Amino acid sequence: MPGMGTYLQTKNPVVVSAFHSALLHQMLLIGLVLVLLSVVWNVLRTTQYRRSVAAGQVEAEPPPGLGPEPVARRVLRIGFGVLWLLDALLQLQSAMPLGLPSSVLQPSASSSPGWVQHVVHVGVKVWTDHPVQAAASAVWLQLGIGALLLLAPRGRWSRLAGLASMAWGLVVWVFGEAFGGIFGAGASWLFGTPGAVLLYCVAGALVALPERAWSTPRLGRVVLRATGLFFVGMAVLQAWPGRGFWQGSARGTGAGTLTAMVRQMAQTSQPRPLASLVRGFGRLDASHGWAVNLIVVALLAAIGIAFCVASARVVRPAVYVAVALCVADWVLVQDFGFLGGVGTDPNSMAPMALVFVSGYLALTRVPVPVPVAFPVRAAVDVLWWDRVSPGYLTRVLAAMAAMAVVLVGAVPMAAASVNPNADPILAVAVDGTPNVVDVPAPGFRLVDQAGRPVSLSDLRGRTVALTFLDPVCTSDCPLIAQEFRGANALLGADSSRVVFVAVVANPIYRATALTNAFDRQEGLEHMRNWLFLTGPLTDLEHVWGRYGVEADVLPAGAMVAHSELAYLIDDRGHTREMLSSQPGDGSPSSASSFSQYLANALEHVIHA
Amino acid sequence: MRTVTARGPSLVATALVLAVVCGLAACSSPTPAAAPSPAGSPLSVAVPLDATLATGSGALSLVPMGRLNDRDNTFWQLFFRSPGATRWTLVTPPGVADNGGLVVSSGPPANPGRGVTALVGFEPSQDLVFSPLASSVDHGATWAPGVLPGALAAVPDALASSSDGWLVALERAGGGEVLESSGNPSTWSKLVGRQAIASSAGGRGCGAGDLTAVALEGARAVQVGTSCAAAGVVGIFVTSGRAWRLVGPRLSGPLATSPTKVLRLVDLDGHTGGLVAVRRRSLLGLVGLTSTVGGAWSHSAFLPLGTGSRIASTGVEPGGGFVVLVSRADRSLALDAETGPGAGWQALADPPPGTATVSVGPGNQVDALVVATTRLTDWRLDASAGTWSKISTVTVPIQFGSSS
Repeated sequence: MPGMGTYLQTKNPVVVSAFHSALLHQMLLIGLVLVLLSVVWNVLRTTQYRRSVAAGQVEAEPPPGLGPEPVARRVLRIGFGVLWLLDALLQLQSAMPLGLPSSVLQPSASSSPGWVQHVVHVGVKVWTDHPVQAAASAVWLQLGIGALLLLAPRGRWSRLAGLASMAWGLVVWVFGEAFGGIFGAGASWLFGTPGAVLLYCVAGALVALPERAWSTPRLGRVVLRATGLFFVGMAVLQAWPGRGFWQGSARGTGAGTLTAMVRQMAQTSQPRPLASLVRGFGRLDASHGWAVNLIVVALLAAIGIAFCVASARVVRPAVYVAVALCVADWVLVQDFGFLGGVGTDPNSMAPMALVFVSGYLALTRVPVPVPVAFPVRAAVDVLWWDRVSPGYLTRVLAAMAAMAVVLVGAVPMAAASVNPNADPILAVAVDGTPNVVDVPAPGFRLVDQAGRPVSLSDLRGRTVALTFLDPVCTSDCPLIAQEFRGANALLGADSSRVVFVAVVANPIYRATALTNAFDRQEGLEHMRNWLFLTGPLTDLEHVWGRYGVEADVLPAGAMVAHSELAYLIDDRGHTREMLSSQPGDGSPSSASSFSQYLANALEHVIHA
Repeated sequence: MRTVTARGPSLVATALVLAVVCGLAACSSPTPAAAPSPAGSPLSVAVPLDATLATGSGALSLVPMGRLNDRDNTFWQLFFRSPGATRWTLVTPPGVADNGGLVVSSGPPANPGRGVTALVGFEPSQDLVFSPLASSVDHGATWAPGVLPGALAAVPDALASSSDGWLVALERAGGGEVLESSGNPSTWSKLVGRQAIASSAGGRGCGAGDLTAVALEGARAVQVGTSCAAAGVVGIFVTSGRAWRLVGPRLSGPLATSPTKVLRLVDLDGHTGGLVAVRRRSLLGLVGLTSTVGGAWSHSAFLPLGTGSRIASTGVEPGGGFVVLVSRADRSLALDAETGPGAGWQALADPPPGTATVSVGPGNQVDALVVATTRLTDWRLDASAGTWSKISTVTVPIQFGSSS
């Protein structure tokens, strides 16, 4: 019925089920890749063994290594690998396909300037149009990057993991975090500036560096000084007057910026002790806002200056203080970042701490150079796999498996981002699964917009998409008409084999002047395969009755309430599909989804 | 990531501000105060669709009801009361969502029972961009559908009808377009547009702006109201062959220094009544106009609208004068009625809170129609005591959520 618009709940069972199904299918694909790689591993190892036996040798010792991985790099790589895995697990939440745009993407850009919102809207559209594909892709991309970071400790694969982390991190930072909110109002280190995922990008870039970059304290100094400058800048921003951070909740004034944020965080769904802890901090800030901010500013400035000095003796206590400050902010202000709502990552404090700790380790724990061992000249018939150690082979294949996981996410995401048409799953989620039948369609004889008689039998030989519209409807009918128009465009050459037919569903406003006015309004007057049929009330009532349509005149200025149904009738005059044409929330995504669904279904009927 | 927001400048904005503050500090100058509007600028005064029409055959009242702060759930209702009846009857035409607003025109008072007795236009809302119509020959007991090809102008006098079924309508397109129909409310042809009137001799003289009202005087004379930029000139135009002639009066004295805007234009038993917005010195107010035999005009005294006040509703008395309900800046209501065509204004007792419109019936019987969601209460004024007493209540079966 018009006016009863259906809005998709974030946990719509159709979409959630499709999400789980997509994950399962992709998991099977990944399983297949794993099996293939295992076979490859087995074949290579067997060949190695046979060749060594044939040559009468004991299996070759692994070639001399490069020495242990620098501690700082290992901390960074493993830390961010674990974070990506945690993010992938958070992406598994059922509400993610439909909830992410409205709960995360749009709010993150809401206080940013128009051009940022415009950029973020591109991401919102891709996700909204393809919720299942995008959500499943995000899971595999993040799982794959995390696994790649953890499984490939050295060499090209490891650097590739860093690059993948940086690339996907940039995508998330731009479209998911609206550039970390740095262009929006209220940027603050306490609230996550410059965006958690930018730190994933930084870490990815560091892991992607050649390993020799970690062989001197220079890299550690660079990381610490950059972090130090950032902390000093954040201290200045935090101290800037008029931003509400110096005020708690003085009588007669509103809550300060930090107090308001903490109160908001305390209301999210979380364990009671944590909520009580956050509330307690909120009360402290409300009563001593000035002092709290003074401490934060002083600590940020002191840590920043210490990092800029980049001397191990000065940095060490600063690192301890910075870690403590990060933990305090993570718990008391950011509330762990992922509790309640649709959290997608643990926010900025954990990655921030990982970056400066690894900077400190790069400064103080420089790897000891390992003497270069010159390999013994190999015999002429020694092939490349004879030189591959079993451990290396295992790691390479594991890295390839992780890369395959990344690709399982990246390919559908790339396909979704270039497809302008929404996924038909949205239409099914709104309207339910259509009924597939094969029964003769009830005949009718009415008149078109020009007053010419038209009967169903006149349309024999062409597929008919039939619906019922009120020409003076203010909401759903114009949307349905646009969805039919969109389906016609999607059909391309096949549109000549289809007639889109609407029958008037208003007992009072049914004259051809009205169907013509509706066509002009919807830009349908030039659509050659569009018919808007009407007739005497008795004829209309007869058609409504045979197609199960009700049209009730409601009192007191309400729109006519009528059933929203569509029928797909094949070229023999048989009904092949009955579906609801309820247009949902009328968003471009749902309209595009319905058009796509209708076009697919018509193609199926045409070519059946 | 979870959304974290706070007020204050952005990181980038802060840096930019920091960079430019010093430079600006040395050469800054005080911000000039907002300049007053130029003398010839159009008057920004609107008249709502809430209206009453009183004729010899009864009274029609148009009021918005439902959830008035939610446009999709505000449904406009039309009530009719025949002479002598104590209750209002709900006669809202069915079949179209009317949450965009309604415009009503009654049949000509000189010919009760002939032609249409009520012509109603639906303002477009949501995705509907043209205006369905409904006409009745029995005061809303039954309705016949019609349609206007474009969007009906959102003014109380966007429709008019004559005793022989001739109809005119004012559409929004291009600052106003007048359409006419010879009787079938689904077949319309363009009569004149804003551009044609503005480029006529009279239009150039008055500096005609948007078209604001239409009326039918007598059998076949279409009148069009406009805003006028020229001081003291009232923009009322009539057809003269194929040309359009300015017939509106030129105001004099302190009223001759301001632009004008025709807010209402109605046929009053063979002559025309108009309600015009004008300034006297800096004070915005209203003047009632009445045409007299021979084409001359008389005008009422000036009714000032207080600062921050707005017109809440207008009505036409059976005798031809206007009644104006004003919502003051403090949201209290004031009621003023013309004491007669071309005469002064009488301040009536403040109507009850929630009054949507006021109807003046035969014998100067004044009714205030108070709306509370789905309930309409009719309060009547005891003029001698200056008090209001409740007469009747009508509950309207509004279908919330049906048209959104």
